[in-house]
Amino acid sequence: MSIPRVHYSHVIGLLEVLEDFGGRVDIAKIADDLSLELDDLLPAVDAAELLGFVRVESGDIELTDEGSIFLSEGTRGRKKQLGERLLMLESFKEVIEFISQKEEKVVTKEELLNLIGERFYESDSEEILKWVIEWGRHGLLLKYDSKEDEIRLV
Amino acid sequence: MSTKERLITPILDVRNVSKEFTQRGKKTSILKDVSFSIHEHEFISIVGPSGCGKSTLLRIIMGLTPPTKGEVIYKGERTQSVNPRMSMVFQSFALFPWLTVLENVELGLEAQGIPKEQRKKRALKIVEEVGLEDFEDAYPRELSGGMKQRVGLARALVIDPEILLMDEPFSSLDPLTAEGLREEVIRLWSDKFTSPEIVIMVTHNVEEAIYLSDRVIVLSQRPGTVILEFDVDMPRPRDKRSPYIYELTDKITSLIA
Repeated sequence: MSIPRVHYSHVIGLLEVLEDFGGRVDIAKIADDLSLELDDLLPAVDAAELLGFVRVESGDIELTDEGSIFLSEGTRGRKKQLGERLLMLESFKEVIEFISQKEEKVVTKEELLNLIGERFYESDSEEILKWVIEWGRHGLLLKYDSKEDEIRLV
Repeated sequence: MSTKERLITPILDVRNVSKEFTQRGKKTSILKDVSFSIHEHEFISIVGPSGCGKSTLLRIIMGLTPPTKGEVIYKGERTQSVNPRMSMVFQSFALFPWLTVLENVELGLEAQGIPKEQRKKRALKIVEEVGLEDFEDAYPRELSGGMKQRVGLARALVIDPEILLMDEPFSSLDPLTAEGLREEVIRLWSDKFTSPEIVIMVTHNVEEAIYLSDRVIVLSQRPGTVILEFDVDMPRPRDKRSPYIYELTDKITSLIA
């Protein structure tokens, strides 16, 4: 399933650093600058690329126009734009549509776990659901009630 | 107020502060004769090697612990108990795991005796400001480290403090998260709604101190005493990778290493 698999804060941090480097730089240079192993940095690069905020080309990472606009926005503007980008990810959109077809637009955690396992063949559905919830919340698309284990559309 | 008047009436005046602890009959000196003044709208960092008494100094400024010698003067008055116009952001976040994000933030207002409805309204506004919208009902266990520290920030800002104290606020975060959150703090600092008059941050990260602050105070090894105080003469937004920051970082690091 196409979904960022790092915390939102990692993507923001990566974009901020990239902007400091003038919008384009060797990925290894960012890793070096932050004293990070390349392996620790790559998931954030993948997530930012998936969302269309950066493009990666022969070892260099470059901020896209969408990435620049995102950075120029305040907290709320960023979240709104993030929501739009998330809905461009087919599988994420499918999850949202699945919930929107339900009465009162709410599903149990169990229902989503089944969807993720069966529809997207993910073996670690729990892990994927965790990311769906985190990103859906940041993109102002989902609300999660951890007491009732329910996920609803905003 | 004229510049001259501002110079003679600082908001906060730390005067000859020393702190000693007695352990098993043995006296240990933590801080020695620390003095500095802080004026309006300043972002100050206190840097120094670990164990130099930086955090203790922050606690003394807030009135959480008294100095052994010297005094802290806030707006002309000597601090004798916890100063209600200050709030603190901790390195370890210090959130209550059984309370939601909103409840953790509201807690800061409860002590002030503000009515429940108003508390909720103000807390919601701050929660949104720090980027926690849609996480109001989340429990700390559902949050990443960066998000937890945002709750810590919101809880400190919700009381509308005049002075915000931050004790190593980024040092338990991973490097990418810390990068993003530093920018956020600067953004909040320049935002009129959330901006405290003064921020005092304690950090062992010299580069971070220079990048964020208007002024940096450098403490020596224990017992901590002020060995250097300097203005960061660089307009904002700053370029974190500028030679000026690198040079200053090298200079300060060699002083305290």
